[in-house]
Amino acid sequence: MKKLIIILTIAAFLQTTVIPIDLILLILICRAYIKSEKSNLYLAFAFGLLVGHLNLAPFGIISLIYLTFVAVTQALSRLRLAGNPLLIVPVVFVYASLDQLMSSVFMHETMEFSRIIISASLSLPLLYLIRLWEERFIVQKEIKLKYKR
Amino acid sequence: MGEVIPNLKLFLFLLFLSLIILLADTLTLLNLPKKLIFYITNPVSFGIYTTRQKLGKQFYFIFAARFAAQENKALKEQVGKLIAENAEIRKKLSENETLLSQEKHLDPQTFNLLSARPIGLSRYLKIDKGFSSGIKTGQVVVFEDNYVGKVKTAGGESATVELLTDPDSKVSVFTLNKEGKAKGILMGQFGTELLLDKILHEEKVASGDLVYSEGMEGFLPRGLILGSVNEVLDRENEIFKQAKVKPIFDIGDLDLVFVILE
Repeated sequence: MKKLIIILTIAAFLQTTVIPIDLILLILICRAYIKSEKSNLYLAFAFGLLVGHLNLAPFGIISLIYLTFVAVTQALSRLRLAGNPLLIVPVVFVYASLDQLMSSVFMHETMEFSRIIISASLSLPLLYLIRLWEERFIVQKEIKLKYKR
Repeated sequence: MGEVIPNLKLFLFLLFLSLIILLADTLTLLNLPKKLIFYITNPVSFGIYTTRQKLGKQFYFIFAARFAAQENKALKEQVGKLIAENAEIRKKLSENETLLSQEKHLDPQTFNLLSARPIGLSRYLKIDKGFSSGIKTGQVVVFEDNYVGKVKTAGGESATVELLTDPDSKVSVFTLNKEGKAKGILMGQFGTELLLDKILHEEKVASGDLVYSEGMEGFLPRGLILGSVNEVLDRENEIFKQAKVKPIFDIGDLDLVFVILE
């Protein structure tokens, strides 16, 4: 988790200074798609505040957006259809479009369609990358079996 | 609902918290903590931004160098073309000037002149016009009022000119000065000098006198300049006087010569 927080912090600074793509949203959605955990919601809330602060957006508005998207993604991940990893592409496309739409409404930013396309195309490789990370490099808790005599 | 959205309570709690923070921010209650956070985040953002700028400059240098190399190559080609074009224009200008100058010296109504470019010089002068342009063996080649030589052989598109300095060249000439006139035969020597021979002792010739064609050969008009007397060789025991004659100009410097067709 520590490593993920560091990565997300770096991504937050990068997306607000250098890279014009919502990397935090991408990573959180991909993670929520793979793992339905409480930590996803905490991360969405915390990094929503950080990104909002760095973007000089009203404090809390991006947390609201991230939380909603992560919660909906976790709900979607329970569907049978979620077994197909390709579903992440349209999901991210819709989220990125809504994110842009809300930014244009609340922060008066012009919508950039190219960002949506880039986000959608990055989603699939990022999903595989996070899946690899979670499955191979994250130590799972020991499973203890209880049995009655 | 809890089954559809996992961790619904937590989600609602965080959502509510976000709304409270948003409200507090709208009411400007969070200005102080925001200001404090800026003390931490601003240097980090600035550091990332400047790093990006430096990296960008480094990459830009690579692109700029590549672009400059391409531009340099294109400009070199352009300069090469312009130099060639300039040389062609200068050549044509020089030819035009020569043509105009030639018309002043030999009347084009009397002499049918054909301009030709020298394309080689060894023993003979090679010109870029041949019998297809009307050139025949024996025709005279001039430049302004000066005799250059006569056509020795005429090919289809080129011809060779026997120069005055050629040892086979013999032309009847006369010199003219205030004291009088001297007649003789101008013969080519190996080298750049000519020898004026068969001058009678009583005839007056001096260094610096111009040598003119007599016009007795038939093909050669009278009065063309062949050179100037450099040195008079007057020996009492010889029947005739001799004089060394040097050409007025260097054949190698000519851009254009004229063949008298008729």
